Amino acid sequence: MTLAQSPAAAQLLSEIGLFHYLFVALAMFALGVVGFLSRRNLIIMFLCTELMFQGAGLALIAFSRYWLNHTGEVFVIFVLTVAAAEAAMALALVVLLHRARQTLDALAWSSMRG
Amino acid sequence: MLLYGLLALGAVGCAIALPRRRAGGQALGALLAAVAAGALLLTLALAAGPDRPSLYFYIFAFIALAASLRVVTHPRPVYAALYFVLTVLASAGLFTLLGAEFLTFALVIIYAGAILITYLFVIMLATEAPREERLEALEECDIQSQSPVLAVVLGFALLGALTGLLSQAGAAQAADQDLQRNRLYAASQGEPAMALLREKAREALVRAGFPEDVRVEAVTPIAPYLAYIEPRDAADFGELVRRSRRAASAAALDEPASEAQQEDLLPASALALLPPLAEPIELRGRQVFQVSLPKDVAPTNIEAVGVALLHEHPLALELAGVLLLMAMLAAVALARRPVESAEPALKPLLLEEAP
Repeated sequence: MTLAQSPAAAQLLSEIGLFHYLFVALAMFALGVVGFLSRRNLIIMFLCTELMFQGAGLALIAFSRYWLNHTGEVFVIFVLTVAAAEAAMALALVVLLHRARQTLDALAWSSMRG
Repeated sequence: MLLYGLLALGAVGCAIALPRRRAGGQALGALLAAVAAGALLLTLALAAGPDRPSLYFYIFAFIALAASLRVVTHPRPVYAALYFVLTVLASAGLFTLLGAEFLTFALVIIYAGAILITYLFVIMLATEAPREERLEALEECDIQSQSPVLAVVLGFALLGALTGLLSQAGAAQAADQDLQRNRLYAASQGEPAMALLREKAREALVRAGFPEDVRVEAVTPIAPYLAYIEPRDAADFGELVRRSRRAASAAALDEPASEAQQEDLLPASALALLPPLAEPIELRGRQVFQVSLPKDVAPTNIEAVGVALLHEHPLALELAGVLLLMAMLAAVALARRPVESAEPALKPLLLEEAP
């Protein structure tokens, strides 16, 4: 069976099916939010933002399948691009911050709190 | 309502599972949250009825949710990154179930293969090696999470609100009988992906023996692939089909041809694609004939995504390239800057290697 005949692409996604996928995507996003707000390690915080990207990407692909369009998939390509660029910047910043205070704790920078 | 109750249960489990100074109970919290996730998926499965996605969806979804829970709650950064790799792989499985094979590969290669490896490298760089007196110690920041209850409440309130919104929207749309037809119609409107499908359909029909000037008016965007072709003259085409069928049945019964063989008769492979009653249908003011297409006319996901990317969003593609270039240059520039270190002992070393 070639890819073109894969059963996934052969049928419409129903509204209930769309809700299933969106629920999983939202759950991943919410777990990312929880992790970002509660963890103190800078690297784990950025990892949780990547988890939020995953949730958003899954939602985009689900909608792309629902509307029989490929715009969602193209947008996920750009989401991956932005995630890669953001990961590079974030990790460079984390390395610098770690060098300054010798710790990865986000609370070490709490003197910025107004 | 059950969904909200299970969400609340998951929230409680998550709050217990986040890292805390007082040891113990975290495994129980993680187990509780995992049970809540499993029960949620089960509820969704039972409520779905015949439209539910395949079994693999539930397997991948459970793995993705459990792994992302462990990403968020695991005290050690390396394990969190590894659980994130597992989340990415489960998410890639979900993409395959949705028919987006190209993004499955792209996700695994780019996310799991490049971005997370970079994360692991930085974790290795930034985490202290275990010393004599602190063999298995965690960083202070990993032992206690800050305001776990508030964070969990906020996150799960967001999830509950969006879930409520979605379930209302889903119920409203499920009642719309015409939505399916509208989706198909909307998808078949002059987009580059549909243009690709129409071109492939035209080539397949010409290969099967239809006349060269056949024009494909529309194609259904999913299987079974039906094409609506518009011949130059509908009445002539109808007559051609009848004559071809008569000639074919005459040949099958080994009867002598009653009239001279005409070269423009349709061959058997073309006749096989036509429905038994080749009558013209009215579509958008034109007289078209319905033809069923051979199976290999469906564009692969890579073809379709490539066409969509390059035809519809070429500017965005160029901008993404520029963005990546800028990010690379900025990361190099950032990493080269010397930083005032808090430890005086390291100062001579840092001054030496500063450019």
